[in-house]
Amino acid sequence: MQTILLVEDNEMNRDMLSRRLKRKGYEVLLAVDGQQGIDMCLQSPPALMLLDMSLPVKDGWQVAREMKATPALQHIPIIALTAHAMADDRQRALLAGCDDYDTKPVDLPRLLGKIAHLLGAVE
Amino acid sequence: MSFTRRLTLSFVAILVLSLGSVLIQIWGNDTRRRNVWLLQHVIRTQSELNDFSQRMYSAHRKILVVDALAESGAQNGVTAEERNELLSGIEALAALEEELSGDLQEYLEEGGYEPLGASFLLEYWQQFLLGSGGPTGEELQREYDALSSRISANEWYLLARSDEINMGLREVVSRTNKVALGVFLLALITTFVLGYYMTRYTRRAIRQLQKGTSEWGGGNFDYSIGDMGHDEFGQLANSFNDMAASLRQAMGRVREASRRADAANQAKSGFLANMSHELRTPMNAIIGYSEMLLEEIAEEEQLSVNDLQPDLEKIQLAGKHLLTLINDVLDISKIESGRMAVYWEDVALETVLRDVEITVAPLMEKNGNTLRCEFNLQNARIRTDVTRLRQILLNLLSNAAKFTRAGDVHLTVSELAEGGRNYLLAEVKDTGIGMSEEQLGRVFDAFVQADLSTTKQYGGSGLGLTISRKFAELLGGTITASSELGAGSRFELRLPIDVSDSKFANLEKNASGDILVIDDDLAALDLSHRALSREGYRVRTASSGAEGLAMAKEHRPDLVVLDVMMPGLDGWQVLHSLRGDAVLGSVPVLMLSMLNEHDLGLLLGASGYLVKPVESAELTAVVRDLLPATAVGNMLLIEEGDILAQVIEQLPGAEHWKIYHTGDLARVAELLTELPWQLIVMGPHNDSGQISRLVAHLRTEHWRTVPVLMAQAEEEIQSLREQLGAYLNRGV
Repeated sequence: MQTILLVEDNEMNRDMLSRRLKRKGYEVLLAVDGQQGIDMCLQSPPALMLLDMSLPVKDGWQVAREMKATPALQHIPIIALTAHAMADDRQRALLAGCDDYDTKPVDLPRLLGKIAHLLGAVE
Repeated sequence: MSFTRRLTLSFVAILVLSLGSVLIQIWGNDTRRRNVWLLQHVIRTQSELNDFSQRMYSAHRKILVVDALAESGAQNGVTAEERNELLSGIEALAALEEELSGDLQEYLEEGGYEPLGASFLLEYWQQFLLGSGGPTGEELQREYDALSSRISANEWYLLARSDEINMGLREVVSRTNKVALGVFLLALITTFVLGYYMTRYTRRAIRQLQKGTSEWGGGNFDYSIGDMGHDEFGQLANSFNDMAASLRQAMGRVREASRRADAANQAKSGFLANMSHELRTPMNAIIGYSEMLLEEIAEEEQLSVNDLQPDLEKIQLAGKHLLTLINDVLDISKIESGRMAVYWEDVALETVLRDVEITVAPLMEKNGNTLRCEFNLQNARIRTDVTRLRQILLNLLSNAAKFTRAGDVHLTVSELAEGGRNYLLAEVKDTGIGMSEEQLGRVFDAFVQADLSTTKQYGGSGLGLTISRKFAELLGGTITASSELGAGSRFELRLPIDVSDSKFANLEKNASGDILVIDDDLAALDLSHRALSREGYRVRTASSGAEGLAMAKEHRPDLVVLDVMMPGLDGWQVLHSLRGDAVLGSVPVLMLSMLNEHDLGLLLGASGYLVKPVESAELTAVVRDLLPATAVGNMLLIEEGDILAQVIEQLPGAEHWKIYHTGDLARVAELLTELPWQLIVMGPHNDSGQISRLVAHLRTEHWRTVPVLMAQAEEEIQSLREQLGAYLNRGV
């Protein structure tokens, strides 16, 4: 069973997405802000990180940059999740080091496809 | 010294010099003329003296001859005739001598001449000729010699005198010439100096002004022309400086406005991105949870309602949040487009405040805050728009609750009399995170929260304060904020509460007109009735379509408020009948419906369309909008020139009419079919054939109810004017 770390500050979204992923057979860990996300990765690296970009304490772009700058963490694929649907959001996320990008509201089949693709690529 | 005065002084100086020159010339001329005259006389005297001397000589010779004859003893040497001739010559000489003596005395100074004294000799000569003895020839010779020498002396004197006069004359001429030349040179120099000075001064002043204008032209509005004194140029420079200062200020304002516009634009773009985020977050929850629920229902067989309930509640919560956001955006858009209506009423303030207190209690508890209320109310009831007041207070309090954790929120409400008016003062004070000065400056701007991170941390659309301030302004009041970072914020709402003398009161007091409300729902009917009566309209009600139509025909209301869904004749049918009626065809009809079929309503001939439930304020606002344009009606004025148009414009009551003025008969035909008409006025027209066809058309059944007033010739305009005057007056 593969572990996904979901970093999301909105309680409802966190609850909803984690439950849906669990139903699809993933083990899901939760972090509520960017710093906590990084700390948890350091403790036990997940197979993949789902990263909300609008986070308190440390925002998603910062988290992505730090992860990719840390040798122990840079192999963890990151999918950026954001409700910011402006054209340059995708570009910004990828520039910050995210491996892929998806918008909210989440289209679950599409997100699952991206997760599977990235996990497959890692393996 | 002013420039004009300098010029005037220069002119006066040149004038004085010129005048001096002229005076000297006059004096010189006069002196010259006098000397010349004197000289002429002296010369004449000279020649007379010469003449006298010659005649004396000649007479003397003759006497000597006579004497010689007498000596020689010739008794009759001299005839009596000759003697008489000599005697008369002597007499003439005596007269000449007298004249000469006068001239000498006149033209030569005393002592400057010798008296001729010829009379003694002349007397001798007479005695001698008459033979009465007397002097001898020798004596005569001696006398004559003495006289000759006196004559010579006087000739010399006269010569000297004429020389003297000549010299004087030459001196005068040279002196006047010198003076004239001097004055001329002086005037020339003065003119040159003044001209040079003026030119130099003017050029320098103009250069200074030019430098200023080119500096300003180049965009340097801080440049200021240096002090140039108090003359015209100085004043011009001051005006230029003032102008530059105004320009500077105007530029500053423009820059500031443009900066603000840029900032507002940026804020708007930021807002759009932010709103998109804010809308997507609850949408995400709604879609996510509902998809998940669908999956669960499909996959799991043993599901109880209890299992679903928490997620359904989350969907509901997210939906409500979404609605709040949308409402906020709509409110802002309504306020910004000026469509927000205000509904004034007398309210019991205490009740409103307690209600607000209860509403915000859960928000306070959520962050562990304590709400402390203090109400000092003198008036039990105040006049305000209670919905807006409540919204403002809720906004301020929920903000305070949102940005404060485990702290205190104070709500203090009191009344204040200031400047003859009464105000409601509501203060909301918290002990929360506060704001920096920079954040405070932008806190009321639309689409701006303190900053984006705040939005993320605290949520919300960033519109609450903007809406609150706009509401406060709508009610004639203000909201101000003060804050310190980390030490909490304080918002103060100040609303005028005795608005009876303010502009707001006029809106309802002036409302007049007959309104017919047709609705089968008695509660709705009552609501509309009360809302419209309160505005001052005369309201009649009908509870069915048929009754409504009958009343409309009987009372001819100014406006009909018509419900769509009614048993029997429904709203659409009533509308159709009204539009088909000759008299009621033009009465505006406001449709009320549960369904949003706005466009359909307007297509079918409704003047306005509102979706139920309708707020009182909205209803009265729309009614107000619909009424004035149709208070009297449309007037079609067919005229080639504009004589009648001018006549009508002057008539009292004309301003209440919407006048369509054209001389083009093709356009008339179009207009007749396009719009409902209440009055048609026709002036003289060249195309009489077309006009008579038009008149015939207007006499047909369809146009029977529309009055047509005509003036076929210019002479008839006066009587038409009277008819029109009477008609328009009646219309009002």
